[in-house]
Parts: sequence; structure tokens; C-alpha cells
Amino acid sequence: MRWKRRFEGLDILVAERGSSLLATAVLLTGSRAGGEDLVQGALERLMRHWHRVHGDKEGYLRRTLYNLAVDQWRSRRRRPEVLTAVEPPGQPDGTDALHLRQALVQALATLPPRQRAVLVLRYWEQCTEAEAAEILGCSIGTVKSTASRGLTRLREVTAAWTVDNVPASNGVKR
Amino acid sequence: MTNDIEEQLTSGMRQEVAGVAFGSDVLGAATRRHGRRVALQRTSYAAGVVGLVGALAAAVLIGGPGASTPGGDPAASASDSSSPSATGDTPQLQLASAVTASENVSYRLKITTGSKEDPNAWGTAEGAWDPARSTGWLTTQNPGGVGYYQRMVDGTFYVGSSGSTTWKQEPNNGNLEYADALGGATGASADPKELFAALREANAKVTKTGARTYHFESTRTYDDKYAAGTRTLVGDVTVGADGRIAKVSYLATDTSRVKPGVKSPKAGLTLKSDHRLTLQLSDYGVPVRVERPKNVIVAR
Repeated sequence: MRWKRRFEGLDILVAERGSSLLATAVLLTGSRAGGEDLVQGALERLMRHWHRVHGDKEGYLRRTLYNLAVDQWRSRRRRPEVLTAVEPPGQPDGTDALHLRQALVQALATLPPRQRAVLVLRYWEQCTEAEAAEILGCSIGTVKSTASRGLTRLREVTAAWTVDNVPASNGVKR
Repeated sequence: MTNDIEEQLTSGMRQEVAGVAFGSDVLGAATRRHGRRVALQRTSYAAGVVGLVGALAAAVLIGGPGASTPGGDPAASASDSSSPSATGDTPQLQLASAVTASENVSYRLKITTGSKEDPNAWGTAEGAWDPARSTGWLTTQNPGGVGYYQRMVDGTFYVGSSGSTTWKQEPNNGNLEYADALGGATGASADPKELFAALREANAKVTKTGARTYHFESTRTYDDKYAAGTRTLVGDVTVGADGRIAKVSYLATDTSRVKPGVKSPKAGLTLKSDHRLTLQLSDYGVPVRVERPKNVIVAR
């Protein structure tokens, strides 16, 4: 009861919105285990600042996910970034679109954290550039240039793919 | 191509996380880590119940010649030197003797915590511990119905909770996390090892209230980098027929003032807190067998 009084509503928030938060965290970290750790870190931060967070607690958690993802990676030793081109299968077999998407998500996990965060905000959360800038605490110009660099690198990774073979209709237009 | 790759990326992300769900109790883990942080803060501010750990650790005869073998006869191993009824000893020495007989041997335990007004308000924890093998378990049942489980197998620490199919293996110092189990409510004071140390404390005033019961009062001042204050423990101890500690109950009160320059809690604040704790120890010498959990995620 004591816990319930202290963090009233948090269990319901996690039950109802946890999967959505986890999905974002998985994309930011590249793995489910990493995503769970990230959500846990965001929850701890929310508990620590519980009395200072008024109103939208999910929004606070989501912003914290992005900031932790960028900060945690910044604080670690920088990993060598090796982008390996992903070769498409020799013969089109109807699963090319699936493979390309997998290749893109794999390549996303190799990007620097800020580029990854911007791309997740723009193409998963469907945030505008202004919204992404507000969440990351940077300028709209930075979001634009970071997104552009990220997409360029993804394009390099999947350069061998013939995009004409891929049905664009599976994507969702923004 | 730009639009195509953006669309494929969006679709790929959706594909990647479709149906993703937690494989472990993330909220429970966050709560425990938060509780641990709070406990650590409290320990820093108030020097714990016993804050004596450093000062008295040398007196704790871990693995010493009096250690019993799990499954051995606790009464036999305690009877030669640990009876509180030894004549001529002061109550303090008698209690110290019972403490010595209680250390380094396995036992079952039950902890109940609460506030000054409601001694049961914060939950109970039950378990068993074998100090010689760093093996044991602790199950906490909180008033809200959520169970938290700790297992230690040969010094490797696992935590789990009701509603979760996975366990986490976490870094640990080789002891069950008593403060953690009880939401950080008790600092380190629920750990029998530290309670034993507290009962040995030189400045504790111990009086004998019955054939095997003692009353103790202890006041400590502290002054660390975060706060300066006073911690008072008032409680009772019952020694079992085997000469070992059977029950300790106390009320701890703490008053401190946060020092200038400390950001959280705010400098200048006067902090007051209290908690009640009852620790029951039984079945000394019991064999403690703990199964290593399956489906474990190793935490960084």
C-alpha cells in the first residue's frame, strides 16, 4: 500500500503503455534485453523525480528513454562503427522487401546514438522535426542534418538493393 | 529512393517490434533499484541502524572456530560457551555470548517491518541463510500482493518477482539484500549479521528483563559528508533455549540535518524518520538448499 501511495498509477501506466515504451527502447538499443534495461532506467528516474513530474508521466518516460539512450552511449567508450553492406539475395523470391527492412533495422542499430534517436523519433514515433528537436533538446537544424546523415548511411548499407523490386506500398506514408 | 528508404525503414521498425513484450518484471526491478538507492542514501545520511559495520566487522568471527556445520546440532555447538545464563557475566556480555553463538551458522528468518504506529504496515519477508556457503533465499510479500524473490546460490545473486517468468542475475556483495526486500524501509538494519553487530555495540545499554530476555537502548551521533544527526535504537531481544538469538524487535528513530552544499535532499532540511522491525530467527543449523533459477537474464 505504501508503494501504491508513493507511485500511484505507475503500475497501470506500465501495464497499459509498457509495450509501446519497450518498442521504442528496443529500437533505440537494438535488442530486447537492452530495451528492458533502458525502460527500467527511465522508470527509476521517474521514481526519483516523482513529485516533480506533474501531468504527462508517459511523456516524461518517453523523453527520458531518448535522453538516456543518447547519454548512456555517449558515456561509454565509443565503439568502432563498421558499416557492412548487406547483400540482397541473388534471385528475387518475393521476400526482398522483408529482407531489406530487416537490413535497415540492423543497420539502424549500428548508427551513432543520436542519429538513431532522431530516426526513431521521425520514422517510428512520426514526430515532426520540431517535436524531435524539443525531445532531444537541440535545434530543428540539428535534427534535419542528423536525420540526413543517418539516412545517408542507411542508404550506403543497402546500396546493393534494387529498390524498384521493393513494393513501397507496405510502408506507411507520413 | 529517399522516400522509399524512409518508408521501408518505418515498415522495418514496425516489423521489428511487432508484439514485443516484457520478458521480465521491469517495474519490479526498477522499484528494487530505487529502493536500494533510497536505502543507500539513508545509510549515508543516518549511518544505518547500525552503521557499525565497519567498526565492528572485526569482531564478527566469520568462519571462525565456533562455526557450525549446516545440519549439525545447533544446541550442542552453542551449549559450551554461549549460554546467556552463565553466571557472573553482565547482561551485555551474556547478550554478546548469545550473538557469538548465533553467527556463522545457518538459520531460518522472518522479518516484519512497519512504522511506529503500525508495526506490520510495510510487509514481511521470510527466508533462510547459510553464511558459510553464501547460499539462501528471501521472499517478500508486500501488502499490495506483489512477491519479490531473492536467491543466492554460492554467492551468485538472483532476483525475481511474481508475475514474471524470468529472473535477473545481479551484481551483489555476497549477502541477501534485506533493505531492498523491504522497499528500502529499513536500511541495512534487517540483516541479521548487522543486527548482531549492533547488539555487540559497546555503548548500548543492556538490561536483563527475564531469564532469556534483554532490553537494549543505543544512541549514536554521526556526522558525515551529507548530514549530521542522531540515531536511537530501543528494543528487546529474546534468546532461545539453545543459547542463540531467537527474536530481536526494535524501534529506530533518526533525526538529522542535511549539510550545506547537498542538493538532494535540500541542504538545511531536518529529516526525521522511524521504523519498527522484528526479526525472528529459528532452526539454527538447518540445511539450506537453494535451486539455481532457470531462465535468467544477466544484468550488466
